[in-house]
Amino acid sequence: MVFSSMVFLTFFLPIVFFIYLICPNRARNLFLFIASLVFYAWGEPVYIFIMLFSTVFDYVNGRLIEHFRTLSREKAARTVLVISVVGNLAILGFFKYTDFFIETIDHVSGSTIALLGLTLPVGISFYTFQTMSYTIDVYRGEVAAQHNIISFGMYVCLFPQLIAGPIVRYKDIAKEVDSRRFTPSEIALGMYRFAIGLSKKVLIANKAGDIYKNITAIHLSSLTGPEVLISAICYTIQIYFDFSGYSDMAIGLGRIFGFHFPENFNYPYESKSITEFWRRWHMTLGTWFREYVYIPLGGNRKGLARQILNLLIVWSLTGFWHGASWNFVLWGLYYFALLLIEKCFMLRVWKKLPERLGFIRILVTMVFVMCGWILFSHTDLTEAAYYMKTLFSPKAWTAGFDFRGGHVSAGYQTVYLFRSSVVLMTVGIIGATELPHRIFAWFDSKSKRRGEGQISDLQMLLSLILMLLAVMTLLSDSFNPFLYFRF
Amino acid sequence: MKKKRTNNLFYIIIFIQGLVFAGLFSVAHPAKDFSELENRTLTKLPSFSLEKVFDGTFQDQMENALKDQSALKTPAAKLSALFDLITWRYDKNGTYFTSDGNYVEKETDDDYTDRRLSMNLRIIVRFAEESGKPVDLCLIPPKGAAEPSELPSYAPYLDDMKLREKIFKETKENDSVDLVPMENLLSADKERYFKTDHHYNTYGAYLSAKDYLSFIGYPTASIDIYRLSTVDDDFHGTLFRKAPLFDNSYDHMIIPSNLPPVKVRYSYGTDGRLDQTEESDSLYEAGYMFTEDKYSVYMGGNHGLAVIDNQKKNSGPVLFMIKDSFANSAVPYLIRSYKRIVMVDLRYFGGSVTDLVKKYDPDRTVIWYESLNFAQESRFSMLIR
Repeated sequence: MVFSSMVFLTFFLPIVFFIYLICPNRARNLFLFIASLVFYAWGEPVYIFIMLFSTVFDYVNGRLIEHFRTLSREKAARTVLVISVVGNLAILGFFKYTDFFIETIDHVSGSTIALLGLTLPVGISFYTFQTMSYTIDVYRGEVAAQHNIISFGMYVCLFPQLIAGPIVRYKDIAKEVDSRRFTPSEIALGMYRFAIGLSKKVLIANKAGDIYKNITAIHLSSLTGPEVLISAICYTIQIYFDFSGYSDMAIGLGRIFGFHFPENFNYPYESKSITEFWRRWHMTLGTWFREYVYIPLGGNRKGLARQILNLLIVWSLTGFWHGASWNFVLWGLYYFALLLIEKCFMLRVWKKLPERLGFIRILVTMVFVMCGWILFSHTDLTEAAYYMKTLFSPKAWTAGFDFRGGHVSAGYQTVYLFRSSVVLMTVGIIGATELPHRIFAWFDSKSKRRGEGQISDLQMLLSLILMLLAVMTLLSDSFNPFLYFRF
Repeated sequence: MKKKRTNNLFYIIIFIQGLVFAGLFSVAHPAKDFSELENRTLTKLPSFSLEKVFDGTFQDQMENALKDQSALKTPAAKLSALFDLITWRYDKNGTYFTSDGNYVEKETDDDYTDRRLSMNLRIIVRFAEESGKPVDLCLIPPKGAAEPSELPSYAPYLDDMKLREKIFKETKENDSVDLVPMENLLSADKERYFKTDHHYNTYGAYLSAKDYLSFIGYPTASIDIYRLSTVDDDFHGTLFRKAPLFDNSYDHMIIPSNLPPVKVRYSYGTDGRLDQTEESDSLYEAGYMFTEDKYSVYMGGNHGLAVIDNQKKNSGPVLFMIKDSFANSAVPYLIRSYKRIVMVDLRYFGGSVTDLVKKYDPDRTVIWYESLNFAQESRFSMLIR
């Protein structure tokens, strides 16, 4: 099931909310677990069994590790941990990466092994990472194992963040798994957050995607510079509003039921460097890789050469996590290279720039981020290269402004495209900054809040209008793709 | 004493109620089968079965039904079209639209390939040679090519002139196939196409008939003899539904009368087998005036085979037409000049065209198609089977 669907909005959510409301406290975890299973099974009626297996597998592993630790049987505990990690990676690897490896081997060695053609179980990249974080943290003694398999199952399958994150480590919500609050203040704020997220996805991300899709349908050979630029800007907008909107919805829904998930985005397009970008984009993924790969590998504590190697490993894996295709690996390596350059000297150069020229840093950073997205959005590397070439080719730009021939000329196409997308792009660019939030907060501070912890009149009005627009848009558009669905 | 308002509870209740209401709009009324506005059957709520759940069709149907059956759907589509206008997006679902209620179907050079076009022309040349009858290509330019001022500013569009040039180049050497120049249609001042439909209006149909008749050297008549009358003035054509705007632009349905008495025999059926026949003594099917598909007033829409006999003539030329829907409204302006017109629609006809030609022995064959449709057509191979 997807959040931005009629089934979820008008049936699943109200029903689940209502039942949770009247459910006695002891049964709430069980109910959420079952509801989450229904949510997942709706989209994956067959692969749900993999997720259930993963749940039971790591429940047992967690209990065993804790058991061995209390008996001070270090080696046994470590063995179980290894089994857990290997098992999880095996599941992930099998369903997500087998065909990638087969294809690469075929390509390189000329063999003709057939592809398995397996469809990717939805959310597998998220829930395997979550369960791995659990067993690792139990091993490290950072959290106690969950003895109640229903509660643990609820954590693994919890529908708000199951499909597309944020990646919630068990220790982040361990307390809330066992006891949490279900109060009007939290519920209202959660709903508000959900409404914002839904609007970001349906009103901005989907529309940006619409424009992007139209441009990518154009014949490669007739693509002009302006067209590539607009498509890159729209994709940049789409992926941010789609993913951060989804995270907002996840965090909002979690909050309704008393969970406080970690934030996933912090105005990443306001970053003044790539280093800063990755501290603002998909933060829970960065945290996961740092905690469970970079630091165990030694981080920066084993000399510069080792640090560079560690970074290389982490970034290759980060890229690879995003998809079973070489363009994603290259995308990860692209950022590795940029981060290395920044670390070695660019950050020092940037620091010399006066504060008020900071916007130059943002512009430069965004150019690199946007080019990164071009690579990210094309699994076909030759196509990606072609787009990049067209973006920077003077010939492709002059072709884009050739007005001879009226309605059939590229110049007309460029102006038309620009005019149809300029409003969306402006809204997207401004919306990606903190400016709307600051303006809203200023207006909000002027109005009287009805008591502490109460949602303000302005917040209510804004979010209800947005929800109405979002639902109406869902009804009128048949176009409702979800970018991060293949994870 | 200030009353303590609790926004939170109020908000929660409205939020949930709002969602529930939105859902009720989809289920709290008897299911609709067909949407006139969208011209398609609507998905209905599915019956439950484990099998359907496992292969996902239950879930898809459920979601589609909730959207299709929602009473909010048409207002939502209108709101969406309005929103597009405000944000300077002038196309949706393959149609351009402007704030003065003008719709033009979006056609571009990418919609056809030279390969297909050449293949079609080669087939037609061969058909002409095998049937022994001259073939005329009466290709109707699409609205954006004939009336470019109706397009939104800077809207990219098909280069119809280039398309026609390509066709001309490939057929000029050949004596048996000719491209009909559509000078009258292209150069006229008055509106020749509907505002909300992709077809030409009756004036455009008249001009194209005039272009064809003068090309083959037949006498043409002034439009005045046809005593045009308006039969409907709230005609919403095929394009309106793609972006139903609030300002409700309408077209007029104007029909020529003072036609010779005719006998029309329609043959149609499923899968190309023409096992049903119907007869009529008019070129019009008035019943369609009461539906959303008003253009089908002309000849009741498209049939696999239609044979029109001009009762007023005892003898005269026979025209063989291989056509798309554009021919339907032009036929009233042609029938005066012929004893018989035989119309074949390749989308609905599955038999042998060459047999038909042998049977009806026409004087000429005309291929009456909208020009892009002609370039894209994949069924011409039926002509030489």
